[in-house]
Amino acid sequence: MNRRDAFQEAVLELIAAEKEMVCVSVDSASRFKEIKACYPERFIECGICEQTGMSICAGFALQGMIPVISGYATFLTMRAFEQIRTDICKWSLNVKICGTDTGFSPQYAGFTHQALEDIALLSSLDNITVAEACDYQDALLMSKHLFGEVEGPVYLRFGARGKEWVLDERHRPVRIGYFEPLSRENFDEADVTIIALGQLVRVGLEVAEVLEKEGIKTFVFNARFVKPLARKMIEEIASGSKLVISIEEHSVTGGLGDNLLRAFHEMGRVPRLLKFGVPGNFGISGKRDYLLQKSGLSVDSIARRILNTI
Amino acid sequence: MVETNLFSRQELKHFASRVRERIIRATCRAGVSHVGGSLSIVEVLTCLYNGILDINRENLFSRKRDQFILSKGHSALALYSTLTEKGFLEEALFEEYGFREETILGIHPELGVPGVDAATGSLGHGLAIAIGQALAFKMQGLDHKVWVLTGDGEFDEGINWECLPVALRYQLSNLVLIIDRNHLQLSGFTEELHPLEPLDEKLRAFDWSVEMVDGHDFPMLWKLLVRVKEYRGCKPTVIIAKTVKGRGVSELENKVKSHYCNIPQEVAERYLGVLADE
Repeated sequence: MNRRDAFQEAVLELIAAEKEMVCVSVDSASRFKEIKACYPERFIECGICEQTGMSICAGFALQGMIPVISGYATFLTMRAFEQIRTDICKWSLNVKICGTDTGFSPQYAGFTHQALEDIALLSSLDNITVAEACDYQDALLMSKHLFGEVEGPVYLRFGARGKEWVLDERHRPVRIGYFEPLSRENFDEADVTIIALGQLVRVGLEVAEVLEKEGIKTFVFNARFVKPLARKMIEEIASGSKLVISIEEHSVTGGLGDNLLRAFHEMGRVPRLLKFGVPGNFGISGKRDYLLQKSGLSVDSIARRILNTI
Repeated sequence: MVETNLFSRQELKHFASRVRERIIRATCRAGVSHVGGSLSIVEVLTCLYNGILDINRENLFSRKRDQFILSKGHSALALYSTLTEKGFLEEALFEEYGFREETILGIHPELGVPGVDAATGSLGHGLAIAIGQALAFKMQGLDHKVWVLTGDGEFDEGINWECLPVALRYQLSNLVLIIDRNHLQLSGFTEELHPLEPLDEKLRAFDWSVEMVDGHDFPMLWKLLVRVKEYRGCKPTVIIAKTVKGRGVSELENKVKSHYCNIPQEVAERYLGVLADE
């Protein structure tokens, strides 16, 4: 199962629970296949028109419905950025945006399709929640929570179709703005606090393994959220961490790392922070694993840099 | 059924004169406004708010009534004037236009202003928002209509053309698009800048129900709007309202500069005198 299947499953559950969900496709119907089959009246096709689709969502939300729009993250967040800003975020409208094929997941489709600046763009807007789940179960929990329980605009990142990594453990309940701890109870016992986002949580856990073997105590968070970041949690991380590591499949500019840094800075306590992300915003065509490695996002490369820093 | 004789031609004319008077006074008070495009839509707004839209004091803040989106948001002064004339906006709030350091009554309409159903200002957003609302009405089984008024220059924005097939595909008979066809946009004449003609033929090619009317002729306008309000077919409707930018102030009529300008005091006083006599 893949994270994209999870948000569809969440929408099906919410429709069954009589929530006024409606799905908006921008020639992206594959993301809503089951919904279209079960509830064709809840599915709207706009064609390859991201701006139109986004403003249509605003119209639905004004009338009290809960629209979910999904498509390539690059096109949704860039072509329809103004609609997200002006029609949706300004008024905190209850629109759920599911950007797919983020980071390097479109692989050979290249820089036109690889979303490496979507977080930077949307996290600059007030009122929106920006989040990414790390695996199928996490995506299910987060989608149910953010679509069904949270009023207001949400941007959720998803990867490409196909098999995805799955965490062995059960996930904890979702609390908006809070990272999910994946290891020891108290992170102030750790030498390194690793905060990883989405699919790179796997990399974060593997980096931790390497460091532990070197006798370095680690603590790993599944970030889940880039925005908002709960102040209480940020305070605890800022005061309890010796070294903070952020890992994300996004440009190193404006992503999780920068949002964390700003949050630390706002409270006047900035711990040592190493940001791991893609050095620029323009990707290249290639295999995802290769592109991650080339960007310094392989387990070895991250671990080596941390070891050199400590 | 709408009572077609609900408002006499004379009553509509008087209402429109009072709206024009407000636009002129507020422009003088603020020192500047998008006066040309505000004056060109006065008759259309007068009809809509005097029997075409099912909007009244009781349902003003409800979403379960006809919706109106002024997609050419820069003409908000005409909308504010109409809403104030209807008693939906308080006089004191209207007086804030262009006068306070901070006001909810900006150049472009925002949500929160009583009677404003969608915030606009960035051109090309209104039609798509209206489609979302019209689809929602259909899904919710509500028999309301969504009316959206765009500029003609606004049709330069590609998103409007994206919208046309979507509304047709979903048979949005509850959607009415009115295009304020005054042939002018910010920096010049539409046909010189970004030609739209033959606009009616282009819209017919998209298979919408296309109507054309003199946007200042009350008997024709009223008759058409009543017919469109009653329409329950399967197509969205577009009305091309042939209007004159700056209508009612001859110094501004059909002038490029009328897009955003002041009205000299002596000109304003002369017109206010004329309007008061009507």
